[in-house]
Amino acid sequence: MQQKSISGKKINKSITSEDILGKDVIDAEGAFIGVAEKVLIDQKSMDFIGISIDKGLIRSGITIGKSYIDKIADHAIFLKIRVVYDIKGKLVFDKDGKKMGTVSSIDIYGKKNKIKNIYMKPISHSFFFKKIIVISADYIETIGDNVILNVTMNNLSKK
Amino acid sequence: MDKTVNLKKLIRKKVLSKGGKIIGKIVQIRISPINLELEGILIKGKIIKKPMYIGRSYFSHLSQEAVILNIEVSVLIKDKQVINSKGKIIGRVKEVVRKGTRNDLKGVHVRSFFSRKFFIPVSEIEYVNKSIILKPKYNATKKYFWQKDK
Repeated sequence: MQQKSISGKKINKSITSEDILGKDVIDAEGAFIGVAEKVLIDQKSMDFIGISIDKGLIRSGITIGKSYIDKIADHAIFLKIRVVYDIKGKLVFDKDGKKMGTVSSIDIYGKKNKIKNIYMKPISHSFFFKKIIVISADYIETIGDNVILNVTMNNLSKK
Repeated sequence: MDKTVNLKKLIRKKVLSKGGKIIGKIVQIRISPINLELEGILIKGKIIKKPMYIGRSYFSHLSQEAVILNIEVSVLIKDKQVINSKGKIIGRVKEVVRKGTRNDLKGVHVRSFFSRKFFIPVSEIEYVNKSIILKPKYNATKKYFWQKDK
C-alpha cells in the first residue's frame, strides 16, 4: 500500500536517516574513518547539519559538518576532506628525513579542519628535546603516512 | 666540501616516500661510470623485500640521514582496498601493472573473496591513496569462480 504524504513538497528524491546510519565514512584520501552513528539536525531550522562518526571502542568519535561531506552514496559516505585529527600518532621527520618524534596532539583553528600547531613527543634518544614540542603548521611540508617538516631539527630548536 | 654528502654514510639509511612513509633502507648507491654522477639507489626493507632500484629523478631531497622521494611508490598499493564510487568495496589489489619500469600505473589486478582476478585500467581509477577509489562510470566485469570463461 502506498504511503500517504503531507509534506507540502516533492520528497521523492530525499534520503532518510536509514540511508546514513551505519554506513562507512571514507575521507578524501580513501581512508576509512568510522561508521555514521548519528544524524545531526539543527534544533531551530530543522536542517541537516552533519553526522557523528563512531570510530570504534578505543578511539573517541568525531562530528563532521555538512559542508565537509562530499556525497552520500549507496554503500558509504564520502568526505571532501582528510580529517586532521588522524595525524595523531604519526611519525615526524625533519627536512633531512631524521626521525624526531610522534604527534601527540594538535591545535586547530576554531572548529575548522585546519591545523594550527602540532604537539610532538620526541623520540627517547632525541638529544635536547626533553618535553613535548609545539610545532607550528607553517613548518609542515607534507602530511601523508607520516609528517615531514620543512626545517631541520637544528633549525627548529633555534626557533 | 661542506655541501656534499658522504655516500658511504647513506648506506642503510631510510628512504621516505613523498608522504613520509618509510619504504625501505638503502642497500646500494649506483653511480654512472661515464659522468660519475649519482644515478639511483637500490632499496630493500620490510615492505619492499626484493631490492628495488629508484632513479635519481624520483629524489626530492637527499641528506646524510635519508632520501626523501617526490613520489608515492606505485607498487606499494598492493593489498589496498578498491572501492567503487558508491562506496562498495569490490576487492583488494593483487597485482600492480606499471608502464614499463616507470612509477606510472597502467592498471591493477583486483580480487575479492569470491571473484576471480580482474583487471582495472588506470583510466577507471579516480584516485589512489589510502585506498583506490574508482570513477563513477566504472562497471566492474567481476567474474565469480563458478563462472566459466567464454
